[in-house]
Amino acid sequence: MIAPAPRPVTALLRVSSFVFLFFILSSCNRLEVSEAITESRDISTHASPARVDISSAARFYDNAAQEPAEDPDAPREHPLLWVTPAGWSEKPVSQMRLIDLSFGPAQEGECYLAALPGPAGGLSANLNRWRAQMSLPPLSDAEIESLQRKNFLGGPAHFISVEGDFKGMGDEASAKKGYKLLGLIHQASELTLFIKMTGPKELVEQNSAAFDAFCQSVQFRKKAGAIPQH
Amino acid sequence: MLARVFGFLSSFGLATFVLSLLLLLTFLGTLEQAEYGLVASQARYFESVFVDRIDVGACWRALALNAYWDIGNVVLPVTFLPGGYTLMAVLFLNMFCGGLIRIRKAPRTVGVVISHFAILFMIAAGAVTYHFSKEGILNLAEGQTHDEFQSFHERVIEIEAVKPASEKRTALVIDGNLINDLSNASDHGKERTFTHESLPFDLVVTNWKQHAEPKRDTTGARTDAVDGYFIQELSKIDPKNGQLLADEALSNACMVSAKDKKTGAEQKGILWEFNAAPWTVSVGDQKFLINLTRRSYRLPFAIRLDHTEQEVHPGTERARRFTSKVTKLHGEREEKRIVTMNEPVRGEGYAIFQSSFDDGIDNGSSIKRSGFQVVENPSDHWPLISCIIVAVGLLIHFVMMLARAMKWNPWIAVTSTLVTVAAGFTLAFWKL
Repeated sequence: MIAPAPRPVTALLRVSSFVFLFFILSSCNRLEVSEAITESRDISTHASPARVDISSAARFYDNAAQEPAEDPDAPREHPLLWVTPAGWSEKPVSQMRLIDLSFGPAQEGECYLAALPGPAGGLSANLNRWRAQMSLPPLSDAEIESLQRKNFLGGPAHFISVEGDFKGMGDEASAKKGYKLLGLIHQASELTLFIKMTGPKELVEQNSAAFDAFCQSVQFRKKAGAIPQH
Repeated sequence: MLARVFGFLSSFGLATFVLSLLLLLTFLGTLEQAEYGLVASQARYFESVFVDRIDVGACWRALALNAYWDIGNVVLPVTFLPGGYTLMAVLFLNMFCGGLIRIRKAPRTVGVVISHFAILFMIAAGAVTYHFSKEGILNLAEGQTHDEFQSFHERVIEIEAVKPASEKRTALVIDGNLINDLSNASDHGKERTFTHESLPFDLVVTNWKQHAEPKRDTTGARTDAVDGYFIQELSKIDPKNGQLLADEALSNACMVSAKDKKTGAEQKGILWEFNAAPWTVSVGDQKFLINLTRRSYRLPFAIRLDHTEQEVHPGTERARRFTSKVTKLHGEREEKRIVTMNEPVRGEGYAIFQSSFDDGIDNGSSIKRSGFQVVENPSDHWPLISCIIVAVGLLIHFVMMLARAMKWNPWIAVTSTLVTVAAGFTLAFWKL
């Protein structure tokens, strides 16, 4: 009669079997750098005819690229040119936001550019409105004058960087804690442009360089020159 | 040895362990779907053999715990965690061994055995659905005929050699699962090369994005631009409601390069799911069409949309009912059918539902179109059958327990109960 294996050996055999099985299963379907195409299908006789040598502009519904700019019936192009930072996503534009971007693993960070005609209520009112959204007290005119300026659209723009509880248009109860806001306000002759970035503090700090690069890249389409490379 | 293995497979302990893991997968999958969507979470947690990783950060945010402590982006690689497919297979084996074979066979366990069989039938229905079901959309304009429908979720790259109109058209197909790991945050991600002996080039795919669109490179300086366009990633959040867009609404895009096998010359292009036409590659005097699209499935018959109409509620513009008159074509044989909401056309294993309607007014074409949801599922009614059998099994078991307590003859009690229930259902079915 063969003596049964001692218990530690049995346990070791079980564990080894499990580990071996695990590695075998987990190595299934691992994709390689090069794969052979193994599948094919017959295309239905009812399918649309093959469209060959179609230009990229036509493939991507880029009407503006296909039609002359002087055509009065051509759809209106976006008035601004910009470079979206790598890893950021674009959202559909709206009446209020000419450029609307989001970033972050859950898209919780947002950065948008808005334009309003004329002074749009004034620099002080708008800056303090942003501070109020961050649950912060307003700044005096003297404090606003001492704020940092950054170059935007060829001229100085007031820049703010504040941290607090972001309540946006909501109330205190809905405020998101630990947020940061970066903002630029540029007052031109006929309109005021706002760039505002909000998000969790750490996420905004990680993307502050991208924010600067995005602001620098914004240009009016008709006066577009060389766009800074990033 | 065999007895010990069987004992382990049929044990309550194994069942408890498996059910606990299923509960964990359900919890994690439900949390992750807030950021990854239903389809991606289902594939990762419920259709996988092993779960490759858990996005702890996403789960944390879904529980709104980031309001107190933002842990950021934390991903836990957990290749040892069995996925839903594995666990359901183990559960099937456990229930088969324990619930059907090992269980004591006695009159008092008849109902339990029947219920266990029904649950096994339900698990089998899930496996059949996973492996053999197909579902997709077929869009037809009035007067148009087609015999293919497109999957809602499965994306593929198709390569078609352009041939004379008289020849049969075929396409090579690259499954989307072979390319959807080729993305990262930078402009140039991982790449994968696809080869086939019939092609004079190899196709290199890179920079895959789940939701993106081609944008014109107005600067002329982008290093990732191809023919004046680059791939711009889009937000997956629906601006109307702040929720994640459904997978069907996402538009995949990727960059491709066709490398000539003889000369090494490269032609680069962008593939976009919603493009108006495929990308053309020319090698010598041969042309190839390359397209990123949804997987197509062939029907055993063709459908022609003869007429479609929408009924509105009286005095309103709200849709009440969509109805389509179609003709099923089997070779030369024609069969007139009507498809309307909640009343599909069934045949040859397929069910065709009226899904959407377009009167053509918005796009100025005035051409009416109907969208049909096509479903092929061999186990379509198996869950219903399973539920009925479970109900019968539990009814038998409960009546037996009651009869024993009331000191009635259990067999007479069960028989009379089943006859009464069957008569009631028959009467109800007849009356309806």
